[in-house]
Amino acid sequence: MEALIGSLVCLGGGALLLLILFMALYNSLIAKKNQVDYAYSGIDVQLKKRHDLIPNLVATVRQYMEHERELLERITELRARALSPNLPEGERMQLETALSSALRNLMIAVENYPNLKANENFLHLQASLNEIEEQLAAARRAYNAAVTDLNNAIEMFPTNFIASMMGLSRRAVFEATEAERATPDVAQLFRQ
Amino acid sequence: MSVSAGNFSQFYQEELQSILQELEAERQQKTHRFGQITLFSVIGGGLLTLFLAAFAREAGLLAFLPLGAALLVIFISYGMMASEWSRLFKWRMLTRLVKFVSPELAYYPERYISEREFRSSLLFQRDPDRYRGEDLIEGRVGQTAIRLSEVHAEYKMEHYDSKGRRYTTWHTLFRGLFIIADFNKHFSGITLVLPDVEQNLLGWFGQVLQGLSAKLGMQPGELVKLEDPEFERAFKVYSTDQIEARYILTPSLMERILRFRERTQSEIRLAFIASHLYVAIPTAHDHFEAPSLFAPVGTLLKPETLNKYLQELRFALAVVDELNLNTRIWTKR
Repeated sequence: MEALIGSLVCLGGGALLLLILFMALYNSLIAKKNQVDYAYSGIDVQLKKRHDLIPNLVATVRQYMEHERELLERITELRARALSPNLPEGERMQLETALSSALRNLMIAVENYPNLKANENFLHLQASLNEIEEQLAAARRAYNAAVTDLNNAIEMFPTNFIASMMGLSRRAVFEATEAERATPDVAQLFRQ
Repeated sequence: MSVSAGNFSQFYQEELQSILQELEAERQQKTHRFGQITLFSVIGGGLLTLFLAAFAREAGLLAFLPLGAALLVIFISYGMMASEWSRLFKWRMLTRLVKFVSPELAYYPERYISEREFRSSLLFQRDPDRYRGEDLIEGRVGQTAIRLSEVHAEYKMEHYDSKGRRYTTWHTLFRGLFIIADFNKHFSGITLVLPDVEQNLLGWFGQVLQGLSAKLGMQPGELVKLEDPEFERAFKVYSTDQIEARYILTPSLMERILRFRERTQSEIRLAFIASHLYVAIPTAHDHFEAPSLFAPVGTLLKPETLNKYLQELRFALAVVDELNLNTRIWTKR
């Protein structure tokens, strides 16, 4: 009788321990998944700020930059398309990347317009844009770190079993585009 | 900060040389006076001791009292003269050197970064029980406001020996340069960059422990894993905000911090709190110390002497350039 009770207690204790372990791993996976979503929303916040800044920037710059009409129109158009509803996520991010590189070209083209660089309003907008780009880069890196963390948990033992039970799958990290990775060839940009 | 060799030699000839000559004269006067005090004390004490030993046999060992008193006088007068000399040198010479390096900087030999500021950096997990400092430099380098001083923070430990008597030992928590600078970006949270011991020792498991220590509230916020492997090997980072930590620690700043660590050759610690940067650089030697009272005659007038101070100053202020704090292209001006 006593032996039976003893083994029952052992069994119960073991089961409880397993349950606690399962709970801890399960919760850590949920936390990692939420971290990814949180970091993603961090990117979104900065993109939204950039959308808000662009009309102001284009309006300020337009009076000075007569030879960059095409570039300015492209920026305005890209912004409008990125804002259109029901856009698939992948396509939206592609548009944002294109917008990033267009804005970078604009900031390089600015060097040709000394009057513009003396404009207080423009300098303020430029600083804001730098700020947003810096924050955006930080948010992307935070997202990548969170995704890496989640992907590791999905593939590593023993969380991989629980992750497959929960139906979690690997996510993709942001890759720096070729244009972002290369140092801008300023001379070449001027010739365009 | 533009200190060229050319304008230094001009400054040296126009301003410093005459002051150095005065200081050298005062130093020699002091050593001379100290020599006199030593001579008279030894002769006086020695004679009295001999006299007592010869004529008052019952005095016994007490006969050595005058000699002991003489040694005490020598010891105390040395202490007083050395500190007086150090004060003199710092006020007359180093204040001018600091002004030369940048007119926007000021030097206060006796002041230092307060214990409250030291604690608020969160760089050390323990609070100090004894705290001292000296050599405060304060002002601006370019657009960056900066304050720095030497700091020596210690904590005590109580032990009991085999007979149950209590005794205290003191241990150094931090000794070196402590710098507080205005950072070039706005942020509101806390980000700490600390030397990584655990991960180098225990690898993957070390990182698990680091994450755990944040969860247990031993460090603020949570562990931040950064993508630069060299940086990750050298440091562990805790922050209250994952995105803000990366906003501060851009790939280029991480590079710069690594290079700064290499150049200082010490386990530096950095804290980013409410738009301020705190840097703790442990150093073995005392910075900004006056040359010895008994250095050979003419030491002060040698160019190496002043060069040493200039180098120490540049070393302390280099953090602004090396961490690129004067780049103000973001919304913070």
